[in-house]
Amino acid sequence: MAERRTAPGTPAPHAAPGTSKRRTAPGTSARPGRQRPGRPSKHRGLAPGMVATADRFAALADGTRRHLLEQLAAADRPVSELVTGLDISQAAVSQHLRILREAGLVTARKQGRHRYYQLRPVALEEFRDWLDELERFWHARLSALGDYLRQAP
Amino acid sequence: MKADIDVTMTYPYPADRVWAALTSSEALSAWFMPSNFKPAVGHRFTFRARPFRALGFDGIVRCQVLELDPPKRMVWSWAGGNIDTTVTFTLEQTAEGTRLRMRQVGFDGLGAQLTRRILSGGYPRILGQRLPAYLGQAATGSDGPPPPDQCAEDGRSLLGVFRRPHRQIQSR
Repeated sequence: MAERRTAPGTPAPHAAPGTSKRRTAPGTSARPGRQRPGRPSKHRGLAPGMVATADRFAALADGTRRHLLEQLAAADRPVSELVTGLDISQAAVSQHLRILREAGLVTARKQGRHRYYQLRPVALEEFRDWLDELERFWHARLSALGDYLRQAP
Repeated sequence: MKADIDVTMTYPYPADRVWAALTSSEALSAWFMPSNFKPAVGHRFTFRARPFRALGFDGIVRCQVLELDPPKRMVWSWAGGNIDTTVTFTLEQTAEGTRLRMRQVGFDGLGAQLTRRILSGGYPRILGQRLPAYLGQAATGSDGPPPPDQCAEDGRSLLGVFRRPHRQIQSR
């Protein structure tokens, strides 16, 4: 069948959540909020799907962190942007982001001198999967069109 | 996030023939899927796709023919739930036959919309019930898991909070 396919752009693979290296907090005085931010080391090395439920609840329970997630829902941002409009220090925002990262809700990527934070809830992964499946659907249907044309009178 | 779907294929047949296969209800039933399609601008038709409930999409795709320009271009709306996209078929006669390009656009922003909906209480069960339940439990040290009927429809939440059974809560 003389049929050509132009491969569409496929989404970049994502770093698995919960795999970010744990960093030693630089100065615990920056630790924000009343929530227990520290995650016990027993959670280290869990598979992506196994990020502790309790951590996600705790991460979501804090208003500042929910605010940060909402900011990240609009676009990936560096800490310096996320701190704008908040009454807390950049160090405190970084601590909140660390908690979100360890809960598997955001990931960070280095870009130039900045570290960009990116939202990563399961819903978005499911959405990407759904889109990928839709793309496969179109490929399959348009291939079927080729077969149909060959067989049709 | 990927913003659209773009598939191009070339068929070794003249554009008229490809166009006919794209626009006849009988042909569509053979290679695409059964539907009540008619090649008339304004005509509405439906078919089924995989549901995506987080965006209110139950799998019923509602389409309308928006443009028809034989044998070059056809545009459908393709909607359901919060999903509102358009599908554009473009045909181009080439030396090898007909190049067909299908683009489905309108997905951009859905990811952000999805997240905003979750965070803003579009899923009140997560933040409205489960979270307080968890917080209460954490405070009192009670070990009874929340009743299972509070789970999201498919047994897990969109943020992955309930991906693991409730027992995780007690393990800390």
